[in-house]
Amino acid sequence: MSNTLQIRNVQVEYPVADAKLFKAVEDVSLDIAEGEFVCLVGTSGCGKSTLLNVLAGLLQHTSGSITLGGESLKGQPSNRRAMVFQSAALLPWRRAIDNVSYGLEVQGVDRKVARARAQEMINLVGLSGHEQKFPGQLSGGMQQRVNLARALVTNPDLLLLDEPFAALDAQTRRLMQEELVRIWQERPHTSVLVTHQISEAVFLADKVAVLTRGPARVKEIVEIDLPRPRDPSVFRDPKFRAYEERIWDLVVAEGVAI
Amino acid sequence: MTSAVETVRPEKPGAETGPVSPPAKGIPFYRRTNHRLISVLAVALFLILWEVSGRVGIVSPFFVSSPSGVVTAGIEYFQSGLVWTDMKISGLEFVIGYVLAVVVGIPLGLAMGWYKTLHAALSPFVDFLFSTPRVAFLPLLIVWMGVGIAPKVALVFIMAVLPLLMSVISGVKTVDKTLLSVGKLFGASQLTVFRTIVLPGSVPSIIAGLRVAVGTGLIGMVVGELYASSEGLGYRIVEAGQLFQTDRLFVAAIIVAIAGVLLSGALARLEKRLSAWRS
Ligand SMILES: Nc1ncnc2c1ncn2[C@@H]1O[C@H](COP(=O)(O)OP(=O)(O)OP(=O)(O)O)[C@@H](O)[C@H]1O
Ligand SMILES: [Mg+2]
Repeated sequence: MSNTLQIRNVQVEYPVADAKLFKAVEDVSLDIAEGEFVCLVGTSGCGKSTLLNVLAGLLQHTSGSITLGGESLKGQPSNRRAMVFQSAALLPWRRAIDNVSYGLEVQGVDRKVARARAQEMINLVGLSGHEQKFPGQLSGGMQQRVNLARALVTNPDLLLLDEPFAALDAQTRRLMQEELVRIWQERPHTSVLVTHQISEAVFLADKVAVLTRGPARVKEIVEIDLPRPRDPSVFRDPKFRAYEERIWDLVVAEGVAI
Repeated sequence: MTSAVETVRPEKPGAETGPVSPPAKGIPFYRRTNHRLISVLAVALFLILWEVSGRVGIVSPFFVSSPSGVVTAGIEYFQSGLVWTDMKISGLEFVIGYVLAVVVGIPLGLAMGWYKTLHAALSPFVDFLFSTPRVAFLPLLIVWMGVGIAPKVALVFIMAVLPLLMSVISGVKTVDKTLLSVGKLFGASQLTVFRTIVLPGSVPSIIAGLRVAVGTGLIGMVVGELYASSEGLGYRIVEAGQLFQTDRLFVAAIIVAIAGVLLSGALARLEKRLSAWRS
């Protein structure tokens, strides 16, 4: 079954003062195959988060079409999609495991089943032993793992990640990237991740879409032809460096620093 | 799994936040000492100064009474049995008024925080009542409801309900927007978002509102008995005042204050219980 995500000529405008519209995304077209990992990079304010929110169904595009496996994604969010926010956005009054099972509960999954699946996810993201802690008792990296587990547990057809590791220190960030690669290779979800760190994009992605400065269009799609399964040794691969350089040049050519 | 990021060592739930006394060397005494002890000492010092200033004639006990005078008057008040009837009537006014305020204030506040239309329709009235000196409604309430317990209950109610309303409304409105989109993202219905995110997120504000309402409700209770009454703690305060019996005035006022502190303390414990996650 092909669950290709087709983004066709998507345009997004925000209503601003005086009944005017501000165009945040000009014309984005992108095909993402089932189980493919795509990273979006581009200058700050070019419209990456906007595009991701549209894919999540939190925002409506003004023209163009988005289909997942042929079915239109316009309209309300649905359990086919899940999003990992930059701020972990955990419910502070729920324990780690209850945060993970939240999406399932909302979708009416039986409590026991939800718990069992949440526990499985907690184990997958390496948080066994911490499931009874409240978010306030977890470190930033651990919170982000819970955030990831909460999105993965619903087994979404489309996983969206908006700078998921931007708030972490460099060391934790690197560990989380390796963790994400491991998890994703274990369960390859169709994923779209926004990042400002080009090495992150190259390490994670099957292809990197470089956007123009806002309003966004796709400037170029760089296929990352690095072996899978990947592990941190690819960071030393000369091809890796070459991809980094190339994407960097594309982004910088857009002018504004990212 | 690597656990390089597991650096946070959570506090044991219920572990007290009381100051752990560090080794004493080199730390000034006012840092070393237990804060509770300082509070007790401050009160004791105040009582001594109060007693002494009356005895040596700095101020006249006729105006400010004295701790020993208050204790004597308190014993009399209890022995006469009057205290029980006063506490019963005042307590009844307060409890009915306060419970009504809770029953109306929390649901209405939640609804006003959640539904913008309802907020737009009612907020002019709420803001007006909130900024008015509400005790001034007492004569009106007496005109409407007579001299029985009803106008006093009503005054407790309007004194208590407004701060509670304001607090609940702001609690709902200040729930983190990202959390709301988390609910929305998982396809939660409005009702589910409300139940699983807005409601638990508002608990701290609800309890804060309940605590403020205790104070304002007690003001309503006392003021409600200032006119057209013949019993109750508030009435006892006026009566003592008119007879220049400052000792008895203080006794009744202290009973009200103790009730306030106890209720507020109970709510503080409730809050601690409901927000164990805020460690
Ligand atoms: N709610 C909004 N109303 C009006 N304009 C908005 C709104 N949100 C974003 N914008 C504008 O849309 C453009 C794109 O914003 P967006 O947040 O998508 O950028 P971004 O690529 O994610 O940037 P960054 O990398 O800094 O996160 C910006 O010019 C921004 O000012
Ligand atoms: Mg962004």
